[in-house]
Amino acid sequence: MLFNSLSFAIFLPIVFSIYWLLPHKYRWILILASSYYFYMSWNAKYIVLILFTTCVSYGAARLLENEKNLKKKKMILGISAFLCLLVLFFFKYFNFVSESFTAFLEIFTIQLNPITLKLFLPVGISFYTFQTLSYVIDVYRGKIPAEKHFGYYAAFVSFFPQLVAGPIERAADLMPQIKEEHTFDYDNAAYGLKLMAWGLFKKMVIADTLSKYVSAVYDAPQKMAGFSLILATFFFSFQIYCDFSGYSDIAAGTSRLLGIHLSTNFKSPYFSQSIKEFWSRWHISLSTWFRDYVYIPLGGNRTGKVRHALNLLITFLASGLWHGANWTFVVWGGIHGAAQVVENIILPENRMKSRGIAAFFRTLFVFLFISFAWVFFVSNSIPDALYVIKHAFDGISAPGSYIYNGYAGIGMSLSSIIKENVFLVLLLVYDWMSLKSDVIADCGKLKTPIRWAIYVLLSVTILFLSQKGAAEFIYFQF
Amino acid sequence: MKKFIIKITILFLILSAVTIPVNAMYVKKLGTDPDNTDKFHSVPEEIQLCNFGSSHGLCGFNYADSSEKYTCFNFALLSQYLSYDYRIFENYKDHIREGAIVFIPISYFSLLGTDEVYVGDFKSKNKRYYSFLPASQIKEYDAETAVFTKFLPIMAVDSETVIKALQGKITQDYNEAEWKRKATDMDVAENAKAAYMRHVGYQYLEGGHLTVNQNEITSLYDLIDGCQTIGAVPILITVPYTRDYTDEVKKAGGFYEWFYSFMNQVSEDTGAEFYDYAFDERFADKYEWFMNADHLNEYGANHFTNILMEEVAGKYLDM
Repeated sequence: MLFNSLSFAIFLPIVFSIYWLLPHKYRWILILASSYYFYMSWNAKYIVLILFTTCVSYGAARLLENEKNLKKKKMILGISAFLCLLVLFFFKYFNFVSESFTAFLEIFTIQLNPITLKLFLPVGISFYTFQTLSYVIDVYRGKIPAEKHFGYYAAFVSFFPQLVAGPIERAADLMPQIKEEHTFDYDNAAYGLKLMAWGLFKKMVIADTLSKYVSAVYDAPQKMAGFSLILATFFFSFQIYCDFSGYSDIAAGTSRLLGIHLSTNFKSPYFSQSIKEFWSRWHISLSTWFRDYVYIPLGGNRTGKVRHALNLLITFLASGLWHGANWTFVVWGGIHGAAQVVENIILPENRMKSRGIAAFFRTLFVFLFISFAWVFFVSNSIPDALYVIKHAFDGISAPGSYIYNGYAGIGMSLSSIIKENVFLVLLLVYDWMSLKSDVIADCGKLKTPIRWAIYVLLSVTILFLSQKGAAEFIYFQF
Repeated sequence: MKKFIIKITILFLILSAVTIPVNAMYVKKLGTDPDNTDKFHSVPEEIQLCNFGSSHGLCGFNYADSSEKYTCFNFALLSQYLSYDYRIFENYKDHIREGAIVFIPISYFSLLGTDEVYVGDFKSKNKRYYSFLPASQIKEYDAETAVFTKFLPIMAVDSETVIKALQGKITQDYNEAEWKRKATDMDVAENAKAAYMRHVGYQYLEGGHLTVNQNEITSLYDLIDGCQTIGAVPILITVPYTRDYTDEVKKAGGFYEWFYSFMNQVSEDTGAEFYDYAFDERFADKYEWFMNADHLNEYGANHFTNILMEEVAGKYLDM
């Protein structure tokens, strides 16, 4: 079930109504049942995988809490992590490893047919696997107690607003909220709805529309050359941002309707002045996960310069691989890791931020760099990415036709250019304002006619100017 | 809670008050039969001559002369793949008489590339089938699209379509006026290049190679088998193209060798006859019979259908 579908528009009011009618002690059952239904409406069989991961991590945490012997604790943690990651490996990485291995053997003229599995990638598997992993590690570290109530724990793992694409919540934040009693709060619910509307606008009006132009190029980039390649790349920068942050907004808004607060996943990332800052604003729940469970255990920055650089690279290569079983994602992660290594060398900590015109140019440069890295992320293969980079400036000697052909090549008319630009400017203004204040809360303070005009205009835009057919969110595939 | 529900209800009512008239305006502006599917609501019984296919089939057959003597029907739609030809056949096979001739035009693009559902414009194109095919025959069927297509069509289309329709700029996918157009008024060579690139050429760019669409090939075999099962005669054909177009396709090294070897193999496997008019000299340079490099116009289609009646159908039908 997709957030941007009619079925969800029916499902959510039903869950919302029952949730607030039910006494508190039964609400976890509703959360669990509705979350399983939500997931099973996509693929009923794969609920077994969530159940398996839930049981393994629940059992491991209970054992860890009662175990005093450090060696045995390590063994329990190791087995639990191995089992959870094995499921992830089997469904997501098996074919990639098999194909890469046979390709590697070909270097030594050893010809083998790769063993591949014809399996659908379970939606959200990387998200709930990482959520359960962090829970078991936190119990191992003694940061949180193991949850004794299996029902509460299962509801935490499968909580439907964030089940398939995050944010990857920590047990310390989400579990108490599932357990504690909530009373309906008008302001909170109204804020949630507004956040959902903004998320739907980003997803259905901006991301899904831009996806047409991105697909026109990246489905088969060899058909295109010149400015079309650059346009599609910039459009992808906004598409993926609006798609994923739109999902996070809808997830957070949905949770708020149930009185539960999810962590913030995006904070105006394209207004970053360094790659390091970008990663403190982009997919925050994942970057903090990698920071806490990979980067810091590796030694973080409390090591020598070389080791620190290596730690950064390892973390970002792993983050790239988390996104998908393809070398394109590994390269994308590697580019970001390498950029941070370089940044650490040339930019001391106290020069990470500038002001005025310098800030503008740094922000622009960071955006251009991030867009360049997206080329690898969005391409189907490394040769496709290299093609895009190589041919992006074909025909630039005639700037007029270079630009005109760029727009025409991806099928943009004048009205669509104007429309997309208006929406992108609106997005950037919202994000820029969000740097200093909570725009949604501020909107609630406007005079009633202005406020309602904004709500109606936003809703009408979503209804009439969106792409239809409930397109999947990009991050579902991760 | 009461305040929340009241406000949500007010917003819902305002949006309904906006949506319903805008939808009515959209439907009015859209005009009749924008996707050429109205014909499927009046498919005749006891069809004796019919064809399937993409735009090449849609534009390539003109039964004006034949329909006086025979019950004819053109099942083709723009950019229609063989897999949908087969689904439409399954849905309407009871309308086809035993002994009928079923022309199956093969467009080059329909055998190549990835599965149709992965092609960029699939979703918007697929909506047309909701108006006449049952859910089981529609690819990637979803109830939401079905509901909106039927009751609130404005909610089932993209923003560009809404804007175009409200500006009165939307036209039928294909219409009579366009079909009457003559290629003599256009740069056929340029048009042929673009058509070739769309249909075949993109596969060969940057060291690419021919990717055959196995699902479509299976559908072709299913369609032939379906025709034979109901006692109809399936005839495989390629419609006439301009020389400009076929010359372009020749540039795709090895394509024609593969294509003819494939078609002959299908013919041999199934017993369905294959007639190739792609290079027919009677048509190749007659721009006045084409609407562009690879589509016959109304006059060309009339000539071509009459030729088919003489050279092919005559063997099977009582002329």
